[in-house]
Amino acid sequence: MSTFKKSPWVIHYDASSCNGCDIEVLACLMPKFDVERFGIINTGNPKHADIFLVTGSVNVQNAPVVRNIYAQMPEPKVVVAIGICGTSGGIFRECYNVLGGIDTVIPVDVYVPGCAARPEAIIDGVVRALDVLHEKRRFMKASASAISGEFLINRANQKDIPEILALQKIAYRSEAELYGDDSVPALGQSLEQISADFDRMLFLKAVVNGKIIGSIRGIRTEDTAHVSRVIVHPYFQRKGLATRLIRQIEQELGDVRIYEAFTGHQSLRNLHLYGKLGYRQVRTEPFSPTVQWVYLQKERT
Amino acid sequence: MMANMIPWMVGFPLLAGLVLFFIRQDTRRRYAVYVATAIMGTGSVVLALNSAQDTTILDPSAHTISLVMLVIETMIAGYLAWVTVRAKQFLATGLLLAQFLLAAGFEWQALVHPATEPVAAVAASASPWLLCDALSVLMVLIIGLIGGLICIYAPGYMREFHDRHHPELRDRRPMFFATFFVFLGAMFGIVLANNLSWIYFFWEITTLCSFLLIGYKETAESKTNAMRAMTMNLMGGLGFAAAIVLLGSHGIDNLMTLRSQGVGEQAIIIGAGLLAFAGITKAAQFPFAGWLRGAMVAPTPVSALLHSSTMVKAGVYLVLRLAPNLEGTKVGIMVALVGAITFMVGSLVAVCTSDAKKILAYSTVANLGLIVLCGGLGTQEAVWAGILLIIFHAVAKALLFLCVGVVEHKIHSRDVEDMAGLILRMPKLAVMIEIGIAGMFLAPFGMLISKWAVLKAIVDAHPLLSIFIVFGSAATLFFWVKWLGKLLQITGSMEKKEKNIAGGQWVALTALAALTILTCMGFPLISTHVLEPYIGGGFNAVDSVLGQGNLIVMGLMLGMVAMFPLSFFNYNRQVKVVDAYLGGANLESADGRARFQGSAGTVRELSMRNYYIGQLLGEERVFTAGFWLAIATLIVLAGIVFLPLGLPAEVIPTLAPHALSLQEVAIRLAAYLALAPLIGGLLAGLDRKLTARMQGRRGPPIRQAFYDVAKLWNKENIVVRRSQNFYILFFFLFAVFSGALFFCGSNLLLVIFSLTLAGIFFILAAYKASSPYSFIGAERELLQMAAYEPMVLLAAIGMYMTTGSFRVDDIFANPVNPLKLMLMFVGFLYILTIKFRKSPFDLATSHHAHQELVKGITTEFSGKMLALIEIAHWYENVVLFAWVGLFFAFNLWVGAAAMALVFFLMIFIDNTFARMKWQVAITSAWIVTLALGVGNLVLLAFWK
Ligand code: SF4
Repeated sequence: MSTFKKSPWVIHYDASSCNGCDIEVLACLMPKFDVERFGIINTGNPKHADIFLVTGSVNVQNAPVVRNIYAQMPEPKVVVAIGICGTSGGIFRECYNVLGGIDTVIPVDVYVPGCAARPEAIIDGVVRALDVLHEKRRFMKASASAISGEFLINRANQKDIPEILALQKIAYRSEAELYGDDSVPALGQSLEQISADFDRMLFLKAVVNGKIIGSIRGIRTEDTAHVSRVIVHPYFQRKGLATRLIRQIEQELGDVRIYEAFTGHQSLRNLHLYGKLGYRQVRTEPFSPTVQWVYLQKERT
Repeated sequence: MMANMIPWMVGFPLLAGLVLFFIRQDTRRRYAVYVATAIMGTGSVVLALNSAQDTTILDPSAHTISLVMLVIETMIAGYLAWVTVRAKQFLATGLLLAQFLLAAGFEWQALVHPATEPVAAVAASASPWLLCDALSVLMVLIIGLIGGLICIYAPGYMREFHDRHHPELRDRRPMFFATFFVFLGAMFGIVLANNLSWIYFFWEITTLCSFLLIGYKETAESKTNAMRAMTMNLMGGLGFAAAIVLLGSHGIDNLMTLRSQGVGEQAIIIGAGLLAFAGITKAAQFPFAGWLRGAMVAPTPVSALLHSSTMVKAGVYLVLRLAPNLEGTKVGIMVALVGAITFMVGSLVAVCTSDAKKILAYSTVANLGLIVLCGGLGTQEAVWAGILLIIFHAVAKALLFLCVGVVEHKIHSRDVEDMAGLILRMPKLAVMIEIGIAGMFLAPFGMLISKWAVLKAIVDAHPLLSIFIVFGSAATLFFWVKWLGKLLQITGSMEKKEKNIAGGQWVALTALAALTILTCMGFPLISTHVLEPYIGGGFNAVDSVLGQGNLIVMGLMLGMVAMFPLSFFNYNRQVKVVDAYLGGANLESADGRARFQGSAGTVRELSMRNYYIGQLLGEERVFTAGFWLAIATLIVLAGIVFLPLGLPAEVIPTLAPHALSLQEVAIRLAAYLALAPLIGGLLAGLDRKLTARMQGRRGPPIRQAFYDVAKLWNKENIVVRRSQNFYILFFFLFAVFSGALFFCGSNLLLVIFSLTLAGIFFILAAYKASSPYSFIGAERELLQMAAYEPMVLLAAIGMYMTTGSFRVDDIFANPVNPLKLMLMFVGFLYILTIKFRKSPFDLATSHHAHQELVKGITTEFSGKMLALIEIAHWYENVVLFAWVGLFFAFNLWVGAAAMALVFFLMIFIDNTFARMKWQVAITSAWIVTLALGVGNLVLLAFWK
C-alpha cells in the first residue's frame, strides 16, 4: 500500500442530518474504533483534508456551503456520503427545501448506507475511499506527465455519453462558481438531454489511459458550424487540449463559411481561448440574471 | 580649510533660514529649499571627507562670537518669557529665567570679568571652541543628509497639507521653512561645538525651534503640546546651565576636557550627570517622554526631523559624549537605568496603539532609550553600539515617518489597521515601509546588530539590566511584525492610491530607502572607518563584540533574506487560487472584497483587526506606569548617588572561541540535515502514539508523521494569495538554518535571532493568506513569540554568565553547573510548552482537531507547503530539545535523560491541561520569566 493511502485526513460536514450519523462519525474517532490507527485525522479544515464526509441530505441553504467546502479541498479528493440521507435524501427527501442526496450538488465517490450508518460501515466507506483516492492520484500523475500530443481525440459513441456527462459536471463546476449560480445549463443537463444532443450533434472525446478527459460537440447548419461545450477535466487543463479539441471539431464539421461558438461572459479563459483561435465577439444574449451568453464567430480562411 | 568649514556649516543653514523667511512664493521657495539643501548636503559630505586629520580646532575670534551668542540668547529668553507669561505657563517662565540667569550670568562674568571667581579657571583655559572628530562628522552627515532629504520632502508635503487637507489653517510656510533650516544649523552647532556654553546656546535654539514647529498648526492641542515640549526641554536646559556653572568653577568649560577627566572628582561626575540629565530630557526619555508624543501634532516633516536627525539626536549625542565620565559610576548606572526603563516601557506602549505615527514615536523613545543606556554604561562596546544605533535609527526612522506622511495624505488615515493591503494599493510605499521596518528590528539588519552589542555590553557590565532589554525586545517584535503583516493582508478594496505624489517626496523616500539598505550592508565599513577610530584604545568591533564567524553568519542571513524578492519570479507559476476558508459561507466577490453569508441571510464583509492587548496593558496605563517608574528610579538612585557606596564590577572571563575546520562544519551539517528531520519526525509520531495510549487508544504507527508528509507532498497546490507560499519557503529555510547554526556550535543569540526570523516569515505567510483563521492564528503566534522570547534570551544570557560564552560549542565544552541555572531551566520548560504549541498553550494552531480556529495559523496552507511547515517544526523541535540537553551538558547521559524526560513531560502536560486563553499565556510566561529568570540572575550574582 502506498504511503498516500496511509494518511487520509477527513473533514466532516453535517448537511442537514438528524445528527444520528454525525454521532456515529465521531464515534469512529473515539477509543473504541480509533480510526487514527489508519492515520485518519479529523482536520476540520477543507484545505488540509483528503476525504469529505458528508452526512444528511442537502437543502437549499447549505448547498452552497457543501459546494464551497468541496471546492476548497485540494486534489485529489474524495467524497463519502454517509447515511441514507446523504446517499439519497432519505426520509427528508420530500421536504420542500431538500434537494436530495449529496450527489445532487457535488460528485460523490462512496456511498455509505444505513440509518444511522454504523461506525464499521463508515470506516469501511473511508477505506474504500482510499482506493478511489489512490486512483485519482494516479490519474493526476498521469495528467502531470501527459503532453497534449498524446491525447487521443476521436468521435464519441453512444456508450461514452454517461462518462462525458459526468466529466461535464466536474469540468463545469468551476464555471458555476464563477457565476455563483447553479443554473449553468451544462450542470443541470440530464442523461436524456445529452442523449438527445448526441442524436443530432457530433461529439468528440479525448482519451488518456482509456478514460475520457475531454470532450467537445458541434453541429452544422447550412454554412455555419456551431461549436459548444469545450470540456476538459480539471487535471488536464492548460495543456493545450481545448485548442486541439476546437481545431479538430472545426475540421470534422467540414466545409462551412462561418464557425460559431458561445460561452458565458465571465468565462475569461474560454473567451481568451476562442480569441486566440481567431473568433471575434458578435453579440451577447442574456441567459439568466447572472449569466450572459457571448457569441463568437470566425470566418473560414 | 577646516577651520572655515565649520562656522560655515553652522552659519549657512541659519542664513538659508533667514532668506527663506522672506520668500513668499511657493514655487520659488521650493527651489530655494532644494538649492539650500543641496549646498548643505554637499557641505556635510565635504566636511566629512576633509576631516580625516583634524580633531579639534581653536578659533581666535571666539570671544566676539560668544558675545553675539549671549545677545541672541538674551533675545530668545526674552521672547520665550513673553510667550510663556502670555500663556500663563509660569513654571516654564520660572525654569527659563532660572537657567538664563545661571548661564548668561556665568558667561557674562567670564567675558567681562575673567579674573574673578568662579570663572577664573575657565577664562584662563585656552581650549578649542570647536570640535570635529569622527562622531561629530558622523552626526554632521546624519543632519546634513537625512535632515536634507526631509527638507526636500517637505515642500511637496506642505503644499498638499495646506491646499488639500488643512485649508482652515493659517499658511505660515515661510516661518516653517525658516525654522526648519535654523533648526538644522543649530544641530550642526551642537555637534561641532566643543565649548559647553556654545553647545548650550545651540541647545536652546533647538528648544525654541521645536517649540515653534510643534505649535505650527496653532490649534489648542498643538499649542499645549508645544508648551509641554518646551517646559520639559527647559528642565533639561536648567540642568545644562547648572552643569556649565558647576563644571566651570572646576575649570572645565568644554567637552573634550570633560571627557579627558574620565571618572574623576565627585563634582565632575555630578556635572556630567547634569549634562546627561539635559540629554535625557532632550532625548525624550521617561519621565520626559510625554513631549515627544505630543509633538505628533506637528506636520509630518517636523516629526521626521525631530525623531531622526535633530532634537532627540542632540540628547543622545551628548549622553554618548559623556560615556568616559559615566562608565562605571553610579550616575552612569542611573542614566543607563533610565534608558533601559525607557526602552522597555516605550516598546510596550507601542504595542497598544494602532496610530502609525504614535508607534513610530514610541519606538523612537524606546530606541533612544537603548542609546542612552549605552552612554550610561560607557564601555567601549556600548558606545560602539550606541553610535551604530544612532545611524540606523536616523535613517530608518526618517524613512518610516516620511512614508507614513505620504500614506496619511493618500488614504486619509494613519491608522495601521487602515493600511491593510497597502502592498497592492501603494506598492512602492509599502515596500519602503517594509524596508524601514526591517531596518528597525529584523535580524540580520541594522538595528539588530546594535541590539546584540547592547545586550552583550549589558551582560558584561550589569546583567540585571538585561531584563529590560529582553522584555523590550519582545514587545518590539510584536508591534513591528503586526504592522508588517497588516501591509500584506488583503481583504477590502484594493484601489490604487499611489498617484500625485510630489517628485521631491519620491526623491527623499527613494534615497532614504537606499540609505537604509546601504547602511545595513555597509555597517562593517562604518564600523572600521568611523567608529573604531573614535572609540580608540585599540577597540576592534569584530574582535570584541561581533566575532568574525558571527559576521559571516549574519552576512549569510542577509543574503538569504535578500533572495526573498526573487521568489516573486515564481508568481505566475501554476497554483490553484481559491478563496480563504470562511466556514464554507463565502460569497462570490467580483470586486475583490471578501464577503460571507452571515446569519439570517445577511451579507457581511470580512474585516480583521490586530491585537493591541489593550485590556492587558493599555497605552495610557503603561505610559503613566513608565512615567512613575522612571521618577521613582531617579529619586531612589539620586539618593544612592550621594552615598559613598562601592560598586561591584562584574567581569565575566570571556572564552577564546574554538574554531571549527571547514570539514568539521560539513560533517556536522550533513549529519544535522539528515538526522534532524528523522528524529523530529519520529518524535512527532511517538508523541501521537503516546497521546493515543494516554487516551486508551492504540494510535497510529510511529512512522505516521512521515506518511502524512509524504501524502501532503503529493497533493495539489492551492493558495489564497499567490505569494503566501514564498513566505513559508523562507520560514522553512530559516528554521533549518537556525538548527544548522546550533549544531555547528555557533552563537546562541544568533540561533535565537534566526529562529525568530523564521517565526516572522511564518506569521507573515499567514497574514498574507488573509483568512480570518490563519490571521488570528498568526496574531496568537506572535503573542506567543512575545511571551517566550524574553525567557529564551535570558536562558542564553544565563549560559553566557556561567560559561563566559554564547557559543554552543564553548558551552558544551565548558558545561554549566546545572544547579546554577536551575531556576532558568524551569522557566525554560514553561516557555517550551508555548514554543511547542502544546496544550495549555496550543493557541496558534493545534495538532488536534479541537482547535477553535479551524487550524489557526496553518489553515490556509495545504499540500507541499503544509508538509514544509511540518518538517520545519521537526527541525525546530530537535534544536529545542538539544538546548534542553545543553543545560545538562556536563554529562551526556544526564543530558539525554533530561531531554527524554522533558519530552514525556510535554506530552503529559499536553494531555492533562485544557487550553488557556492567550492572555494567560503571555502574562504567565512573563511572570515566570521575571520570577525565575531574574531570580536566577540575582542568584548568579552571588554564587560565583
Ligand atoms: S441517515 Fe438516519 S441517522 Fe443518518 S442523518 Fe439520516 S435520518 Fe439521521
